[in-house]
Amino acid sequence: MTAMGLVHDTALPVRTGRGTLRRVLGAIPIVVFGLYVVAGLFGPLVVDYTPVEGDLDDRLLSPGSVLTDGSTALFGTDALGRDLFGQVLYGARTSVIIGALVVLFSGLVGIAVGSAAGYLRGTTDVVVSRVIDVLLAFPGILLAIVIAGVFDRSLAIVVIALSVTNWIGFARLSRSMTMSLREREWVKSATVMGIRRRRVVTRHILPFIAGPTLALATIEFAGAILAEAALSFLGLGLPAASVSWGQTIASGKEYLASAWWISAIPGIALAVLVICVGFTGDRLTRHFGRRQ
Amino acid sequence: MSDKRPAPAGTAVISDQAPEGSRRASAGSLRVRELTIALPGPRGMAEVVDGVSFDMAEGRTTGLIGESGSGKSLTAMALVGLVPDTAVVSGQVLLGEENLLTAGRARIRQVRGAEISVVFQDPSTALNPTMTIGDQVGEILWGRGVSRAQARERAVELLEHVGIPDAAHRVGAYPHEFSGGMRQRAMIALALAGEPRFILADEPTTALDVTVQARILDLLGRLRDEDNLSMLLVSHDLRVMSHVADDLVVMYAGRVCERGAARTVLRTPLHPYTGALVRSVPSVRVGSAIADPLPGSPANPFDRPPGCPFNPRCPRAEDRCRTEVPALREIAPGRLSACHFAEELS
Repeated sequence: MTAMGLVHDTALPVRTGRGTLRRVLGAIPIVVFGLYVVAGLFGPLVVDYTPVEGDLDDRLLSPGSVLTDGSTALFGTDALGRDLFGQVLYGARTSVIIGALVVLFSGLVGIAVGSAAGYLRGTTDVVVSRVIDVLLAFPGILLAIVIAGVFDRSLAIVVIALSVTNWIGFARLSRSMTMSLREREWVKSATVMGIRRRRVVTRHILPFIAGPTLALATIEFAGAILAEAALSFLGLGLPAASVSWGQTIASGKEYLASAWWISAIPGIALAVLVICVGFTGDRLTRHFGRRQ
Repeated sequence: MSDKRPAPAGTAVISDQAPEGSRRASAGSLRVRELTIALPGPRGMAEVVDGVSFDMAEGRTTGLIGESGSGKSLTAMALVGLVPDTAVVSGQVLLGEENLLTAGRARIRQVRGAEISVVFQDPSTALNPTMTIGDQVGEILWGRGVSRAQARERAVELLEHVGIPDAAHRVGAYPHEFSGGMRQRAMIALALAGEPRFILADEPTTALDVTVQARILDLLGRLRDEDNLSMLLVSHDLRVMSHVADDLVVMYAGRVCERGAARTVLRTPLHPYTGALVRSVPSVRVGSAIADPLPGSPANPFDRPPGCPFNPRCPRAEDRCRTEVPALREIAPGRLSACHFAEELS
């Protein structure tokens, strides 16, 4: 393990035609993932959409129809005459925000708890490991449903409900990596030089966990987005006034036979995002796995 | 490894009788008394280091020599409290009148780096690849109220002190940009940063090219004289020892089998094991004499034979050696041996 960069072109042999093709194909998921992030960040600035306003004259229009105000509904409209394109764009923003917050929150907690357990071992490790075992006994989404169901619907509750089980992955990864890293010579060397334990962990252990954690974060990101959509689909997620793919999919399920696009388009958007994030994660895992 | 230490209750009672070798036991030396380290083995706890006593005399280099598995590295690391989590440690490591084995975690952290410091065997693994050399040398000072800029200046001084050319520029380099010998110099600079009085060098030249080894040994000798350091040199290499050690502690299967001034120990060994070690070193100069390797395999501390641990490999072994553990006793002034027949050997 040397420097932490994603650039490794120099180490590759001379490119062949097939290699180029593979590189282009390999880059697609990352580019698509990037497009979602850009759409989520900047789309709402370009496209006007308010979830509480809809023209009932425009209800259940198929993709590409012209609305009463003269504009074109690219993805059609829903049962209340609201533009689906706007819903998908705003939904992308919601998903990216939820995914990022959950990963950030659960990642910080997971790394702190996991590295403490792995470095200190003993009682700390036993307690952390048992807590994780207990939490793993429940399906993650069940726990999230219970928490989200007990409290009022809000963004904070959704993030907390999803983080309750999401941190476990980070904790387990950082715990196992810390346990092996703490036996490395430079950690021992720093320890016998009288450097504080906190600094030993932050400067001599955590930098080596960063890569694999980033790879895990993408997978957890996809999981969080899916779980949020599931919660919103069940009516336990975000407040009704916010836009979420899960809510849109749920609102379209009564019209599957007549207006398929209401559920299908956000569903496809969700599936493509999760698949692309998954591929990106695999790629990062391979990248960091190779240098271990 | 961790900084786990035994509970004070079980260890504090051992009195500092130290009948042997108290010749140089001034306040300026680090005294190890009856150090015993037990590790869990296949058949319960085994004393991998068993009743080891010696002094790290002020301003001198003490050589700790033995085969792999003799417990020499474990002994050295126990002086700074770095033992495996499962180890049970007893005895005394006396810095002045203070027993470091019973000191608290905060006190140990003060001692580490500032009183006792360590040079590790392989500088390519003992330096953090993600930090610059300067940061690693200066890191010890950050926690002691020194500003980053001052720590960096000090790092440059230290790197110059250990003979790294163009230190002002190389201070920002990463370990992989250094050669093996330079890395070991940087490692030594790191060990010196806290201005310790005692340096534990654990096989400091084993991972280096032969041509670089001598220069690192010379550097350690120069630093010892210039900075008035006391050094513990752990090695299995008798040639390294004859080059720099003033005193020698020979360990076999976790016990001290011979102790004394290096010159006399190597010239007239008072223990068959030391004798065998000396004969097993091939000499380039003599050319004709083929080294006489020691028969058998090193004793396993988890499965130590009864009596003298060296008896299965010893040419002089008699019945007494297979039943009675020989005590370490003073044969001549400053010379100690744990052999029943030490007098005959001289």
